[in-house]
Amino acid sequence: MLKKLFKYDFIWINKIMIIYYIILLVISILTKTVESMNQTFLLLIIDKILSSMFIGCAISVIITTFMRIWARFLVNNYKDESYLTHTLPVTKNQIFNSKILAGITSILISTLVIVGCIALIYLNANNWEFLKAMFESLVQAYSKFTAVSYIVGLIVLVILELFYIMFAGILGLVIGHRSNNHKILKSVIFGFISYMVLLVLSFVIVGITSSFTDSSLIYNGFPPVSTMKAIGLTFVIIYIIYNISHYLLAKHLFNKGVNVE
Amino acid sequence: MGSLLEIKNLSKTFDNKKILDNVNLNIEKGRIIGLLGKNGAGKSTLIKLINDLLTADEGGVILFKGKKLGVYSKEHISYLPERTYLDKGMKVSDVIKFFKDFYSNFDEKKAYALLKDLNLDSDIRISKMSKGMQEKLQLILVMSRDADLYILDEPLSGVDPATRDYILDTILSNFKEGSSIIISTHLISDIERILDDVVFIDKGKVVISSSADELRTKEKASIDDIFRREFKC
Repeated sequence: MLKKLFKYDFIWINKIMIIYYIILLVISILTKTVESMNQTFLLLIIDKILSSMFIGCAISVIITTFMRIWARFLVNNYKDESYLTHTLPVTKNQIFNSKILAGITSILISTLVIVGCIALIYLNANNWEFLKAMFESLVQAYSKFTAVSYIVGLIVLVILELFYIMFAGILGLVIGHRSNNHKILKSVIFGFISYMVLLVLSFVIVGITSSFTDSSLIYNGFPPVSTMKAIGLTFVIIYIIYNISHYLLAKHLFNKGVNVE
Repeated sequence: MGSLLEIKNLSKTFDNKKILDNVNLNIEKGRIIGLLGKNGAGKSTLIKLINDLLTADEGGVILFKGKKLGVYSKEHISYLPERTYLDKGMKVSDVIKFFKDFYSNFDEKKAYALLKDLNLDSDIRISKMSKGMQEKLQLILVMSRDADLYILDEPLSGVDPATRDYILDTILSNFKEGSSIIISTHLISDIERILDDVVFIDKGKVVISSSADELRTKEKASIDDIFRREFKC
């Protein structure tokens, strides 16, 4: 049953997203084509316009992905459609998990599409060398790491952050809809507050962790490997804890039962 | 007759206001029950609680065939809510596939046959259908299930007399023999002829629960007249 629920949730979220992906891909191809031509003044202007459009569209993809995930959770669990959702012969756990899985998959696909389109436009031998050179100073300081590992680590952190935004919104919706009035307002306020408070807390924790740096070990202005590792790991662990705790709390409250309008 | 649905000490409070107050009720197999009461009496709240759409106050118990509400009860209860609950982006054929995917007791052939009677194209999108047509489609979906209990919340409200006849005919000619039906309504004269039992609800309390025939004999009046007398403003 989870598989069937997932199928419907995933299709609902992504049937709009597919249009965004196509637009983003078309803009990427156009940008790449324009950039590969001899740059005249006119082409330079077109290139700038296309680049701006690409950035705007990529931001829209991220925002729309979140909006679709939250809208699916809200409409399917608390609005008119909930009369069907909660009378299906499935457990509340399955309903909840299906939406989370569909959300996670959609975020991963959106991230992949954006990263793929960026690579399509900008990745060539020269730019790759430039990117590696950018991380060169870090690589020199921390010989154990490669430029690729920094890029991968950064992407992992970004994805964990995106999951955290999704979970904060869903926890907000679950808590907001436990009350009998101003449900949407309470959902937004609670989701936003929990997100901001924990985000500030995570920076405080990372700040405390990095304060244990031994200044004598600083090389070329960079903190020692052990500190960098500690900061990176702390961020990853914090986000994993936030994601798991948000998931468990939201699921627990959802399992207690709903009060549809 | 065996008990199909048992409701014990069921209460529901919203903002310190009791919408249902200590309801106790037994629904037996093979009966058509009229859940009757004025608007706002608590009928829909009771139905929502039976369908797990609301969470009861502590102490209340609802048992379906002796089991707590859950996957089993949802498999065997077919519910028609007051609202249109279908995904507007779906086509009629998608909705039928959806029901087939989730309900093992859904009869796809019966659903298509009923659609044909209505001259309804299965390729049409839900968003393109009128509210009345969506309600008829929902009725078809609900009655195409081989359920033990059908719960129909205000199926006759807001429709013309011809449509009421269509709805009642569809209900009576399609429900599984031996199963029970709960019909919530305040349009009693339209359904009186088909009722085996009646449950009167007022201000969140069950005020009368009886066999329709016994009540008519005892009060020497129709159910409609008794209702009007009981709930006179």
